[in-house]
Amino acid sequence: MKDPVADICLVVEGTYPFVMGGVSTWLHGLVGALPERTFSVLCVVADEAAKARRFAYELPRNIVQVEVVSLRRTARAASRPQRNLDPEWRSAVPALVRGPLSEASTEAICEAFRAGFGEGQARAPISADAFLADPSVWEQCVQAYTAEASSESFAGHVWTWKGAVEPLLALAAAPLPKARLYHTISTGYAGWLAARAAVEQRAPLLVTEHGIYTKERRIELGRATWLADRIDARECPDITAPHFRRWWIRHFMALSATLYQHAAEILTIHGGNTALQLRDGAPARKLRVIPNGVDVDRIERRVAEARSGAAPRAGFTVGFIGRVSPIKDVPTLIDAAALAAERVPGLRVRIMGPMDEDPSYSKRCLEHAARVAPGVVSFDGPVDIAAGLAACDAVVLTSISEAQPLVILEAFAAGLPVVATRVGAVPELLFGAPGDDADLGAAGIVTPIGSPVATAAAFEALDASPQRCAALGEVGRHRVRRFYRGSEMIRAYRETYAAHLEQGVAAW
Amino acid sequence: MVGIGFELRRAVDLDAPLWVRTRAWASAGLIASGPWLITIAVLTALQLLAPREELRRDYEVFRALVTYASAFSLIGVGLLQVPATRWLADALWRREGTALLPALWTSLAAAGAIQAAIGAGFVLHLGLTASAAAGAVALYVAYTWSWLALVWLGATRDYDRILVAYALGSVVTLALAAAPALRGSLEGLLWVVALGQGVTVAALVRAIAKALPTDGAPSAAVLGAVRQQPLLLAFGALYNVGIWADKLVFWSHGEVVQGALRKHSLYDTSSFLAYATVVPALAVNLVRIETAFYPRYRAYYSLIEQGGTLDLIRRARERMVATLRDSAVRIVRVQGWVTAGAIVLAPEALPLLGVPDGAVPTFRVLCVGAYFHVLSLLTLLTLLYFDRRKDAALAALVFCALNTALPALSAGGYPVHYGLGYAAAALVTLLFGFLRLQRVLERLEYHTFHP
Repeated sequence: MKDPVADICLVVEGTYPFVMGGVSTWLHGLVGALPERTFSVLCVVADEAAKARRFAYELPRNIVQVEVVSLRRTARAASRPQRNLDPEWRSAVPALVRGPLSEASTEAICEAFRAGFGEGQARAPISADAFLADPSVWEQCVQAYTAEASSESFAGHVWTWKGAVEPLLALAAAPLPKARLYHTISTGYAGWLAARAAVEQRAPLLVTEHGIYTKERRIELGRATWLADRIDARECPDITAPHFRRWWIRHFMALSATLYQHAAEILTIHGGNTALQLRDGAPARKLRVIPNGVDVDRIERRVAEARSGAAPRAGFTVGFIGRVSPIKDVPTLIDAAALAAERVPGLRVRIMGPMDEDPSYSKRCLEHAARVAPGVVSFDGPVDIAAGLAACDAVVLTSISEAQPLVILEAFAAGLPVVATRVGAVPELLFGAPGDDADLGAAGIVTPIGSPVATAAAFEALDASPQRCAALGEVGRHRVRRFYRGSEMIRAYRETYAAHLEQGVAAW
Repeated sequence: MVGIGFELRRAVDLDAPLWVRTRAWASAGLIASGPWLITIAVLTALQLLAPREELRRDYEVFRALVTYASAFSLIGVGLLQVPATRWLADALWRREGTALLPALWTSLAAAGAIQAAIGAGFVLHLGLTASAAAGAVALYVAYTWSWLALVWLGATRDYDRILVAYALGSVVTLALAAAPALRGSLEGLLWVVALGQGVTVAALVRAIAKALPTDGAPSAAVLGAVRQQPLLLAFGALYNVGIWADKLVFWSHGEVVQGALRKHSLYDTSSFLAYATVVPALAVNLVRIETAFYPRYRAYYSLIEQGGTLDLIRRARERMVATLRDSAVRIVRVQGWVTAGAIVLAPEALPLLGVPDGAVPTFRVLCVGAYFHVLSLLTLLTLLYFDRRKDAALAALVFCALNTALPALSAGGYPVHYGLGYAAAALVTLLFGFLRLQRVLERLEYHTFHP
């Protein structure tokens, strides 16, 4: 059977259709709302084990193909130098690995890729070992060390290169679904693969960033164990040195810059992101904001149904709706619950969301909650969003990084007040963007990152004043109706897709 | 966005680092030479027990059988020796000591059964008495077991116990041989040596069993390691066949002793004695590895592991290479004097050992050959220190091929030409190995990261 040619190929990293979350929900809604277009999904996952996971979503009919690419092969490939290595590759991959890239060198790399990627050519995957064993690549690796890292661990440098090259080589050999337009939902590896696809298929390329990839990697790299988790410390104990952390950030910035170079348009969901995109090398003329949206009427209706069916509840219930993952800073929420419980009798904090993303982290959270806030914090697993909202008096987020959390818009639609940390678009959502939006007033309480005291104080304030709760919820309801209707977002994407499908490659 | 980041953990690789293996290779080198000296010593000692004229024939068959037994047992064990040496070093590094003893039992049982079958198949066609045939097979199996036990003791670097075990076996052999009834017949001689060798095996195995934990489950993992290391297997097989190839060629040109049992008196005696002259090179090498090379070798790899800069790593390599060069110069010089002395003194020394004057020209050429041979052996072992299995196997192939083809040419000439084939084969192997080694050392960082 011949592969179908979809109108739009969505390129994602570790999310849809495998993992539930904000981005996945957004995509699922977008695809479902555009039945006149066919879609394929190209999903980049960490390894073969992730590839075998079950879909977390029932795919809409208009998704005609799902292709999954693993960044790491399970079998160790032979580490012999490849005689048939493309000469362009010999210079292009090391240049990409080296970063940061000027506009000129990004252009050179794209040229090399264009030359290296013959159309429809099947490529045998090359292992990172085999690639670095190529004498000219090795020479470049040593030169890069001498130029930029000569006082750092040499083994750390080589392992860092291997670590950077391996996923790029895996992506370079990955099969691509054919499509008339490629739309990546992040930069990073998915973005790089989308850029490759667009070049090879001579199709236009769109980017939508919810969170900013380089910023999220920066946060991850800041965590002491992140690199050590990924690299065998016995092989190389120095890989976590500050130099190598900075190196990875530059590398991810280089990946972003390459993608921005190719993209016809660079979209994001709120204005706060555009500054970061500019810093990472996005040309200002390509930037545009299309805010997230939700189906306000539907949520309102379903929450009302759920409420009418539920038994009346006593006390004050705060809901956290999202994945249990380090970026959400669940321990701060647990500490806040423990603090507030002393002054808010009947306080319940319900953590509703999947716990399988980082099982050891989830386990630590469970243990922590059982120790400091027994009977107050409960872990309820994934729930239906309307049922979850109906069970709460307020919604909370303690994330250390967010884009424009859908759950806040959904809480608004349900008329619930929100307590959330000052990250991403949260202040814009809670206080309104300057102008008409801000005039509506506050829809919740903004807290600093990592402050259980401030979050607990917010719980206390909301519990003490049902009137204030209701007023905040009412502002949220108005705001989402006026500025964040899902239908507006769908219309914007429908038009954007149409414009680029019509223009085709000419766009870039 | 779920950050999936990147991943560079390699498939679990539990091999011991190179520097752990170095010492194992070093003792492998010693062991490669040890058996030779023992064979020669036994033969010489029994030769000096001046046989009565009517027993000459029995002694001739006996010597040929002992030679065959040691040759083919060494070739057989040679298949297992190099991969097993590595497997043992790796297992010790992983602190999986409990696997070592069961692996020895498995190897002894497997090698014993196979060698007994091969030995029996061979001696049955020689027309020996049943007792003599059984003695010959017992001797063959005892040799096989002793070489295997040496591999295990070498991995634990227990050289003292090796010496004690061999001393014990030799004493038993010579004590039994003192009885005229025993040394007066082929059966008696074979059983005397077999029993002495048996005592050595028992002492070696006892020493191993004492040094290793005894609670491991039986396992054939060591035989699996042989399969997983095809290049080491090839190296061991080619090199050990190569060592005997010239002898086999000369036997085919020599005299029939009995049935398929052949010998080439002049070549055999000369080459065994020539081998004995290179012991100083091996001794110097062992001392140099332990005292000079190993610390710098280890420093080099530790520096890489512990995050040294390229600049420091290169300097450590230069120091290590300088030590290696210095060791090579010393060995070349010491062995050069010894070999020159042997060549000059040959006319006086050989008759003292009961060897006729006629052997002097052959012996002299073979001494030069043994000189190149021991240098090439050390070069090849050094390639293994740096994990250049492919280069070592290639060099062994060169040696095996040339030491078959060139002696076949020189066997047709006069006695003075006899050793030329072997000497040329050893020289070419030495040059080949040396050039490879030099290339590896020049780009050692590259090779370290791309095994």
